[in-house]
Amino acid sequence: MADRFTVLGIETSCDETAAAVVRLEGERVEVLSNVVASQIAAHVPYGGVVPEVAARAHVELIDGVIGRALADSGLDYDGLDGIAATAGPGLIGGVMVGLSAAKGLALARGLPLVAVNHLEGHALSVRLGEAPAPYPFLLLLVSGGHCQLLSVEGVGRAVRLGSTIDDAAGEAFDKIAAALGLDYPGGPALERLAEGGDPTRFSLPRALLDRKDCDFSFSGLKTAAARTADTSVHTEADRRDLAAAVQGAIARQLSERSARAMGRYVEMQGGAGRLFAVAGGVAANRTVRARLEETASAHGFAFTAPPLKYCTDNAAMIALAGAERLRAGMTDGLAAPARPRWPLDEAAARDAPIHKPGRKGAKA
Amino acid sequence: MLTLSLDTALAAATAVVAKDGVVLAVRCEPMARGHQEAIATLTRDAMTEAGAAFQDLDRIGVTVGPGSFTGLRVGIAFAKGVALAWNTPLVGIGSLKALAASVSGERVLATIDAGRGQAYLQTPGGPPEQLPLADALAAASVSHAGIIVGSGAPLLAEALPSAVIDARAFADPVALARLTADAPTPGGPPQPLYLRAPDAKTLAERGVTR
Ligand SMILES: Nc1ncnc2c1ncn2[C@@H]1O[C@H](COP(=O)(O)OP(=O)(O)O)[C@@H](O)[C@H]1O
Repeated sequence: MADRFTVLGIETSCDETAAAVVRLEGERVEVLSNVVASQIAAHVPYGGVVPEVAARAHVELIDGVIGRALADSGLDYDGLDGIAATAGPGLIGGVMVGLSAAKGLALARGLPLVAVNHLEGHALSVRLGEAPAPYPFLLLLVSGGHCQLLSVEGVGRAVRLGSTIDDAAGEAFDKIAAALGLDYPGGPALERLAEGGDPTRFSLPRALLDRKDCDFSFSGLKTAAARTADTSVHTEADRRDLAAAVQGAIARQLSERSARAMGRYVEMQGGAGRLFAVAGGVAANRTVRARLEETASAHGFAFTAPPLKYCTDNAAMIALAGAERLRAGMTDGLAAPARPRWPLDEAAARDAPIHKPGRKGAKA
Repeated sequence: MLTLSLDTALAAATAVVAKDGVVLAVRCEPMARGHQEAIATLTRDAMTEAGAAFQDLDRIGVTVGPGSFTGLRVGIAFAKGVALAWNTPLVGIGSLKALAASVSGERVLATIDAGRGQAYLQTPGGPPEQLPLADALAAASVSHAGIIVGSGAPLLAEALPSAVIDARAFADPVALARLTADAPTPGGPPQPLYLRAPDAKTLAERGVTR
């Protein structure tokens, strides 16, 4: 087993209670089980994720989900080399549930504990596919809670090239979808509505045009879209056109910043590792994806995205991050804290805080 | 019977190992917050001092509330993890019941200050409930309790002028061990007893129509 690491991963940082068993052997990654219990139904009456509702669901579901992940893997706890859990960033009540359960298991089984950064999980999710992406790669992480560009050089080694200064792209999709009267989660609903719409009919503002960095901003777009929805949307066709315009505007901004980051990344890496990876729930959007694929090929980058089930929150990515950390000798103590905010690239976040460093420190 | 009892519901993190009515090791740290960081280490230390192995545990007990929502979830999630590891039976213990069992005496009223003008309380023989202070005072005055125990005790003292007041902020470890051993075999995994709905309004409650 010298170079074989089988890890149980647990993910509870948002609205999915998930557990998975992943085996890392040399450069081979095998997902032995992957269980996700979505709580979407519990949150629908509230029109969005309510942290307390999420935390309540996590603690009810956690043992069943872990038990199923282990049963599906065909292994016993004896077959595991470690227990990994998301320790942040995310909704702290939920994070504590998964991390506490992981500690209980690790302690009672005498297994090492790995406290995983959820963002590192997303970053490594591109290594869960048929052919794991080799390091280094340029990553665009676009989810409901995060929007950033990272140069990923290895486990524990990521450099942030850009980040959102306000909303995440998924958040923008969700909020604009809500303004269009679509149910939560709005991203997928907005994509369906946009089908057949004319993306050129409504013009929406472009953000941060005067800046030369790789940062994102979606709040202006959100405000403009809400205003347009109020003033100019009367028919079903109007709604379709606005949805298409919004989707196009988000895709355009993602692709423009990614193109800029590609230039920087090539300088940093001296031309090596021209691989562009996209992870996070928004990567499921076909317009966004097509636009990013074009951008990659225009800049001489290969394109990769994890299979859909590993794009959204899942525990396989946490288990893989755990296995890679375990292999690198990086484990955590039983006192590991849960962190609501935890930037992946702590150095960059400290030197150039994107969010005003508030009470909780720099946001991820 | 070898048992492990865990409590992070109130103002302490506690792990107790006991065998056949004898407490072997106790780790109990008073704290307002930080239960998540503390409980695993306390458990490890108690098990080590007791010379007990996790696979030899016959039963694990955990307080289910009422109490701090975060504390309840940390304790229950951690206990579920420990229980899963060796398929050990897991039982839930009411935190008001644990407070009541922490004092000796016949008619004990247990109560926790729930903030926002509310108290959690359990009268002798009654169920755990959350009541506005006025109602809690009324319930206390007809309870004929001789002792009031818990962080809410000072709030209810005026209702029972002759009662003994014990304002302890968390349960006695020995009581936790006893309740774990005495609990009936559980029907399913224990879940938190919040006694309070999530602090959020549904779209309908906010008058949002779609
Ligand atoms: N087809 C889609 N088009 C646009 N956005 C989408 C699509 N599918 C999912 N999303 C968005 O992705 C986000 C969920 O992704 P996920 O990686 O689970 O994020 P997080 O855990 O940060 O909320 C949501 O904001 C959702 O609306």
